[in-house]
Amino acid sequence: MNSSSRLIYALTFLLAAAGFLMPLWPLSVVGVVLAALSGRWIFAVIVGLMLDLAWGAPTGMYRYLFFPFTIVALVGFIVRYWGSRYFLDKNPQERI
Amino acid sequence: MMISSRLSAAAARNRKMKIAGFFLVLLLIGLAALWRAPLSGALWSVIAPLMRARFGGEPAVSAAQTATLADREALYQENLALKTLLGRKPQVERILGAVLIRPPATPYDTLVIDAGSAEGIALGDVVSAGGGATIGTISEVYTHAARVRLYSSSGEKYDALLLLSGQGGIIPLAIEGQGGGSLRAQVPDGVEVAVGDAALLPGIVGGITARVSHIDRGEGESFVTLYFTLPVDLFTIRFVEVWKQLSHELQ
Repeated sequence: MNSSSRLIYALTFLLAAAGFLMPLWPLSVVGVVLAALSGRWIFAVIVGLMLDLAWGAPTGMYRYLFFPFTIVALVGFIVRYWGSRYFLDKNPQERI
Repeated sequence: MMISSRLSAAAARNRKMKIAGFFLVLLLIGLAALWRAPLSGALWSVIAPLMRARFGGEPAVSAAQTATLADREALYQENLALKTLLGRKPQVERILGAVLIRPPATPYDTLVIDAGSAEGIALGDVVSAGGGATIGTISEVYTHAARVRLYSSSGEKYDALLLLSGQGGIIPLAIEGQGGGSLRAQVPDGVEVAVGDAALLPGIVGGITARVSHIDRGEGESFVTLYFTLPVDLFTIRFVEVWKQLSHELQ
């Protein structure tokens, strides 16, 4: 694990924990999204699951989401996957 | 040849790790879905001391508040005595719980308190902020913690009674939670409702659930929209009472 990975893991966890303690839950969302977009999506899912277990299931019309912060992590992973495939790909497949 | 075989081996290893990661995530989500309550209970048993240290501590009570509380307690005891005299003896066992986390710390209209099944809390118990000011019900129970779903949670609907201060009547209505400590209901136009009128839960031990904070009268509309707020400030609440059992005993 290189230093940038350690930094991202630490920063993600700090943001999620700070959002839980301050309290400011959008900060926790930022932490989860940061981890997912930087490619550490499994860690993002784990942090999202912990936040969902701590805050419980949503109420009202959002109750069908069940695990909203985990869904945010998965959406971040999908965005990263498609973004890296279509916008960050440095080896284009087409050849003349 | 050697370089291309190394690259293809690395790509194959990468692909296997991605598949393993995918199944690991599926497993974690499945475990969380199947054992949500026990896992939440275990997590809160670790977090609770931290949250108690972060949000705990008794608030300072002024002399005026002390006098008001004493007056309220006297009226409440008189209310119970009158009910007993008329042949109804409401028995309510109360359990005190400290609030570990409250809105806006939670993104939903819920509280987490530090009393759970070990302290006698059960699913569906009514929660009050003190006296007769009911604010919600127990929605999840852990060993030493419990989650309270507030009446103002978005989408929650309740049948209540509206006390009309103007004409002195009582009308039934359906209140719907809007989130953020706010509730909404509609009554026919012509009902003399005023800001400050109280909505009560029906029942011999029912308390004040909400007060009218705003009335929206549209021109030419048959119904008037009432907006309510819970009787306490959710963002500063520190202690709640859980009414363990509502029973109606006859003498």
